[in-house]
Amino acid sequence: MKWVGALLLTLGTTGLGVFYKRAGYERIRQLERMIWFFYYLESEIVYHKAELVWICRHGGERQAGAAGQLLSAVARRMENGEGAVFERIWREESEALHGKYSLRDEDIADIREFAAQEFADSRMQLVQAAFCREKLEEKRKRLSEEAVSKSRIYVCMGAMGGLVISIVLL
Amino acid sequence: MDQEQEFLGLFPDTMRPGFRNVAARLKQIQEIRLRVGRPVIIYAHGREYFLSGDGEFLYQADRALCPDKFYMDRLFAHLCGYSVYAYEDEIRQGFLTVAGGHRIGLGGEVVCREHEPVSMKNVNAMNIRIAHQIKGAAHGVMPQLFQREEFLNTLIISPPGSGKTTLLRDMIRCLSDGCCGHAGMTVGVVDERSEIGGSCLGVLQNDLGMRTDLLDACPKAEGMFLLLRSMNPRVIAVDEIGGKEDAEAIGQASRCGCKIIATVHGNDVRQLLERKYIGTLLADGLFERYILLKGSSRPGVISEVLDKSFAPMDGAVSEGGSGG
Repeated sequence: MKWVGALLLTLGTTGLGVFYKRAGYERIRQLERMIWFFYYLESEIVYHKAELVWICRHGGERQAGAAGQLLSAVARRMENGEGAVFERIWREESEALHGKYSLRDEDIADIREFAAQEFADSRMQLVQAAFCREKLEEKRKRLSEEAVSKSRIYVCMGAMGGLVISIVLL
Repeated sequence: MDQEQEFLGLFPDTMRPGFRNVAARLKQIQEIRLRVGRPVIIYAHGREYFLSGDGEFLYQADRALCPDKFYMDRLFAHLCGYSVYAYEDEIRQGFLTVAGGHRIGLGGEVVCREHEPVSMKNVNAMNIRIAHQIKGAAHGVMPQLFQREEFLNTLIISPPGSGKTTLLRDMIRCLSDGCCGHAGMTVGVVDERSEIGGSCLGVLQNDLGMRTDLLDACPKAEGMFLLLRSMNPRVIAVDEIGGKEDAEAIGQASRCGCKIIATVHGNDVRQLLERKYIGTLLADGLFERYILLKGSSRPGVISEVLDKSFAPMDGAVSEGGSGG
């Protein structure tokens, strides 16, 4: 029974390591979705000059996860005609992503920055979108490079931690 | 969404209480003028009123709402849907068309590149012209514009603010849907300044009929050629013709078998005959009907209808609406 318990404990802690590993990859995936949105925004500004509400609505329909939730919620509130300024709507809906989709506070702060500039002609809007996109891309690149080693560390630490505790208890 | 809600939706939530009364009386209002640091002025029933902070209509300016720069910036951003870049082409020409077909003239600091206006910033004045589509404005005059089953080339002549665009809009709708016992026909419209269709980001805010094709924000001459090449219109409608290119395009369209409805600024036919390019069209007999409007004191009222040889015809007077 003791050995069964030790095995279960080790599996559990290993599973915890796998959980953190997957959370790390999930964060990267969510950042990729937000990066996609900024590419989409840039192309819509250049070729279509679509309004932000249109871009958010169509972007939200095409994306799942954090980007999908954020864009759909922003589009819905703007189309409802509640009259709130875009900066406030974007900020509030970005804050609503806290604790979901493995995004951290710093990621949400970067996403929130997009709406900081209210008045923007096409050049300024493209610069703003490119600025946000490049920040997220840099972060995604760094996280992707670290992901492999970190995921090994999480799983190994989980497994080793379980083993150590099992040995101590046994 | 009804017209009142749609109008209030143009304003941010913090400004709406001040405009609820305006929205409720929208049918009577022609213009709303906002200027930084100066009282908001409403033009209704040919009179001028000031707007107070809580939406009351005043005769004196002392309690009137005076928007500051922040107010105007916030309002401007909201009118553009926080997507100023999406309205760049219109802003460059000094106006915006918003939901409901209302046109907003802009005043501010023009940004130029190589001496050409490219944008506007620090908007310090807005003139919100309330759109009033008057269905039925053309009913009285339409029978005189047909000969047997054929629609005749028609020119509407009036000074600014006399209702010629309102009349033109209703004529397009009547031709498109059919009227006076005549079947509907395909009408092509070149709406250079988005005044006829009131197009807002591609969505028509005015009813132009079921068989109407609209080219929005397109120069008139190029637009007429585009329509002729691809949309096969029986009638082409344009607003405010004047230059050489307009006259040539109209001539070309007419030679292709298309009928023309156009409007032009002027007081009478004699004055137009003296103009360089339009005068040639008139002298050549391209137009077969001329509709003269009374003027801005009685917008939409037809003064007389002339035939091809400029002789008056018997006709009904039509009561229209706001100027344009």
